[in-house]
Amino acid sequence: MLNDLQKDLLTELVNVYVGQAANMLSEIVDKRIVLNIPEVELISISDVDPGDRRYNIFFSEGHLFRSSLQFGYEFQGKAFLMFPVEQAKVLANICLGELGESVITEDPNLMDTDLDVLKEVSNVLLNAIIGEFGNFLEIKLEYVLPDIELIYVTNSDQQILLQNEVYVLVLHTSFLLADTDVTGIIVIALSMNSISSLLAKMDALLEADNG
Amino acid sequence: MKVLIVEDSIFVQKLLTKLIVDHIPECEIQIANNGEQGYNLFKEFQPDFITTDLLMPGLNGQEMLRMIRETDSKVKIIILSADIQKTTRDEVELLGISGFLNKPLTAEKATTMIQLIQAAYHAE
Repeated sequence: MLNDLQKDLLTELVNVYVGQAANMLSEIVDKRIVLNIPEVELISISDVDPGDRRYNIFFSEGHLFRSSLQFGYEFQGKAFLMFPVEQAKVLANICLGELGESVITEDPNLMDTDLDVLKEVSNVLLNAIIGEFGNFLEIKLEYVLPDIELIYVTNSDQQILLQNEVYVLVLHTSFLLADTDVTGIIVIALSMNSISSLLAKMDALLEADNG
Repeated sequence: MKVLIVEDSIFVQKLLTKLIVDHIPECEIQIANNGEQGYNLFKEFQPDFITTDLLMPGLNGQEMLRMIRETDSKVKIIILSADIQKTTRDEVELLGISGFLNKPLTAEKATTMIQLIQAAYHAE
């Protein structure tokens, strides 16, 4: 569905947006963030083969902390940020440590204070990426309050993707907090109309560039 | 000097409180968890300075700001939000704000916020 030029431009945009988000996370935790080059795929959910590594956006089977930010109306979709629960705990402890709060590192369970921190951090990161799509499209995105949940996923589970959407823009990007094993994954799911708007804007940009 | 913090994240509430108390210990601080609480506290507490988030449950920061500006054009208000959209910033700037800072609150932005509070303090 994406031609080479579109894919190249979209990867570049996402690279910049995720880079900015990573920079924000780096400022929050005062640690260097190691970024992987984002893999951008526009796929149909019906085409997703859970066994295909390209679409295997899950960590290994287990509990995940998942934060989501829903946005609309002209550009509609949902963005997700996920961490394995034990790594989410480490991230929360680092943030609370920055605040000078005492943290109990032995307790693996996520407490209310941890969830509050993780919600805020996720909100900042997802806004940094999605907000830039709004700026790129020159439209105002309306946000629904971010949601957080703890979920259990299996390797064949597709619940992370939007079940009501036909296509999703998958940003399979991961980042690592230096000196830790905290790895996060970002996924953005868009409605078909939103993907069309994005492609139209990208095509206009590419045409202008060629003209 | 009275400062009202309107913010739904407890983490950010603590961060802001610590920042203000560390730099301006004589400040009296009140905290609201959403725009509705913020508006009610604005009327009761009559702050000199308000720092508010935008996306909050119930009445959001932009709606609260609009309501405050219907009766008060002087109170200094600064936005601290994760929303990086230019359109959002343009809209709230029309309502009369002293500054718009994007989260996260870095050392540089914290300095800016303290300078704005101190400027409001000395303008009293």
